[in-house]
This record gives sequence, C-alpha cells and structure tokens, in this order.
Amino acid sequence: MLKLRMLSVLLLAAPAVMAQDNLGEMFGKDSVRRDPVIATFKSTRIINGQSNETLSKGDLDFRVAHRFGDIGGSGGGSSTFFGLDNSTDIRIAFEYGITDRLTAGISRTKGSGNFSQMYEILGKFKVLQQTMDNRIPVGVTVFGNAVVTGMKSSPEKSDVNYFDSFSSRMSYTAQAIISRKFGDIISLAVLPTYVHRNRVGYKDMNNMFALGMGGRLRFSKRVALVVDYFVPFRDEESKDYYETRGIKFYNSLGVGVEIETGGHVFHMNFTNSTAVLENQFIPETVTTWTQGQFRWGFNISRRFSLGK
Amino acid sequence: MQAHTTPTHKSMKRLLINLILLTGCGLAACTSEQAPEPVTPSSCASVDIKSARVYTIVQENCTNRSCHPGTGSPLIADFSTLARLKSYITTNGATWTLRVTGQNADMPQSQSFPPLSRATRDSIACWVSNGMPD
Repeated sequence: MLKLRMLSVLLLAAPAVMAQDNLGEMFGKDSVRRDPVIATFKSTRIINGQSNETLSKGDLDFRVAHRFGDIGGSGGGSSTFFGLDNSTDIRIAFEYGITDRLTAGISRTKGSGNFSQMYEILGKFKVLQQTMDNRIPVGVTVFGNAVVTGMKSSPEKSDVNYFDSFSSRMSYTAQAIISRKFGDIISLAVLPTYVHRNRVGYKDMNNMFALGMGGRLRFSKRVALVVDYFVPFRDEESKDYYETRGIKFYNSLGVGVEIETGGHVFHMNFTNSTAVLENQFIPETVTTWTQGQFRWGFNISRRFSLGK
Repeated sequence: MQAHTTPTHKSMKRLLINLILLTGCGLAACTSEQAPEPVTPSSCASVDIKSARVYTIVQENCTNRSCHPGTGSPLIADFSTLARLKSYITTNGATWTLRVTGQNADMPQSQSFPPLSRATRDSIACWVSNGMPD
C-alpha cells in the first residue's frame, strides 16, 4: 500500500520536475518563448474523461453533466422513452482557474455505482504544453480528486455501503493526461489513471489502475466528434468472483458530438457507463453497449470571466 | 542547472510545491478496507427479519428515484406501500425471486442504484420464505 501511495505521488511529481527543466529552457536559456499549441480540446472534459485543458486565470466554469437511463435492454425501450424517463447520474460543478495552468473545483454528483450523494474536490495542473515548433511534442496535465459520499450507512457489515468511519466514505483519482494535437483536425490523449477507493465490496479492489484513451476529430470550426475509452485493470480473482454473482464489469466507451457556441461548449454523447466521476465509471461500470445498456448524456459548460 | 529568478518561475515553483503537498495530505487519508464475505444463511428459520426492515430496503433501492412508485413506468410493479409490495410478491413470486433475490438477480437496474448485496438478497428471500412477517 505504501508503495502504491509513493507511486501515486511520484506520478504527480515526476512530470512537474520535468516541467521545471522545460520552463528553464523556455524562460532562461533561450529567452525566446515558444508558441504553445492551444485548443487541443475545446473543453476540460473529453466525454467522461479529462482533457488536457485547464481554465484561464480568473475563469469560472459552471458545468452540468447528465446521463439518462439505458436506451435498450430490459431497463430501456419505449416504456422509459428509451431511457429519457430515468437519470443514472447528474453532476453539477464549479471549477475555477487559479492560474492559466492550475484549476480547482468542487462538485456535487448524484453518483451511480456502489455509492451515491457524492461530493468532490478536484485539482488539475498543466505541467507541459505542446509547442508549435515540436520542441515539446506532447502536453502533460495532471488531475486529482477526492470524493466523499454522504449516503446513509447500511446496517449490514457485508454491504459495501456500510460505513464505520468517515474515511470509509472516501475515494480518490490520480491521472496524467498526455495529449497531442495533430494539425488542426485531430487531437489524441492517453490517460494513465489510478483510482483508490477506501472501502470496497468483498473481493473488489481498493487500488485500481486503468488506461484511458481519447480523441477529437474536428468537422468544422464549431463541431467535432469526440471519443473516449477506459480499460480498468481488474484482477482475475475479482472478475471471477463477481461473475459467479452475476455481475460482469465492462470498459467504458463514450462517443459524442461537441458543439461550441461562444462561451458554451455543449457535448451530446452516448456512453455505456452510468456514472460521471472517474472514481465510479472506471472501476464500477457493469453495463455494456452490446445489451443496449448505453445512454444519451450531455455535458454543458458555461464560463464566466471573473478576473477581468 | 542555472538558477532562474523571474516572478513567473517563482510562482510556478510555489504552486507545484503546494500541489505536491496537497496530494500528499490527501493520500495520507487513504485507507484500504474490504467488506467481509456475505454470509448465506443455511436455513431461514434462524433469520429474524421483519417487514419494516425489508420495506426500508425497498424504499431506498426501488422507489425513491421514481422507479416502482405506483404511477408512471414501470406500472406493473407497484411498491408504493408495504401492502402493495406484499401483494406483488404474492402474485409474482417467481418474477420476484428471479429478478430480486435469485443468483442472477438484476434488480435494481443500473439507474444509479448500487446492486443489492448477497446478504441483503438472502435476507429478503428469508423474509418471503418466512411468510413476510411484520
């Protein structure tokens, strides 16, 4: 466990150390500031996953993310108007640009998975920016959050939502977002991710690593296709145990359209995962596209400039 | 490496140190606990579970997010009162077992509800098997 904690700290710290060298070059040795590549993604989220983008200094971003119910399968169809009668998760967040590179935020999320009634604090730091001259070929941003559930404790000790202390209610995500913009059309990102949940069910995993991938394909000045995909590394023992209980875990896949309308960025997307927070949709997705268990969702972002 | 003293560089350094410290503090609150293995009762005779407990579970997991409310969809399973819950189980026992307490039970559906634990499903099954005592 100690090793894992140290690894997480190093994961966040190592790119920062690299950034110091790079900043040294940018500000000191060369004295010529290279032009950074901007707008790799248009929003701070790809769909479910983070993008490399942070807010500008003094910008307040009001975000709403919503996921409806299953479009098909036994929980969807015409009786639920293809999922629109239900909502699996809703997140309302305020995020603020402390500097052009550092964003902090808070959110309240309904929650979908083992826990509900989630409160989140998050931080995101842009360590490296891709440059136009390719001297820095990729952007590196780090993201972390801490989430606590406010839900009522179950009286049964074997339930995952039995809480005997405050720390049982907490979970964390640490993530690096390594991104590159290829010309004006395509942007790609790789997201190595670590999720720690303080309390999990029997045979579930407290620590889970995952690899995310995301991309944006621009159609026009304001419209783009966005995709993200997360592969959690759950061990075989855990998978086997839950399969005997009738529970199968799936990778999260989101596909959507991104529309930018001056001040707003609007995402209409379809995803098999029911949850919005990394702490849940990475380790706890039990719904699959192949059984109609995907849903319509949207992310709305409205930015206010408070610093000007 | 040569020392740099620009204000931007200094503030960046300060921010990075704060970020790393904050991360360290957050991780210090990490614990790792796993729920104990659910115990499956070998006989329901020794299980003492009453309607009030079961109906609380049903309210928390089946009715409080606009599912099975007695209006709207899905209409067929109306759990809006304890009497209606009992009536449903009496007339749809096989469906109840298949979807709520059985080995491959799929309720509650994935509409943000966590799955019921095996222990909870077994307790509910025993309540039904014991005649749904109040």
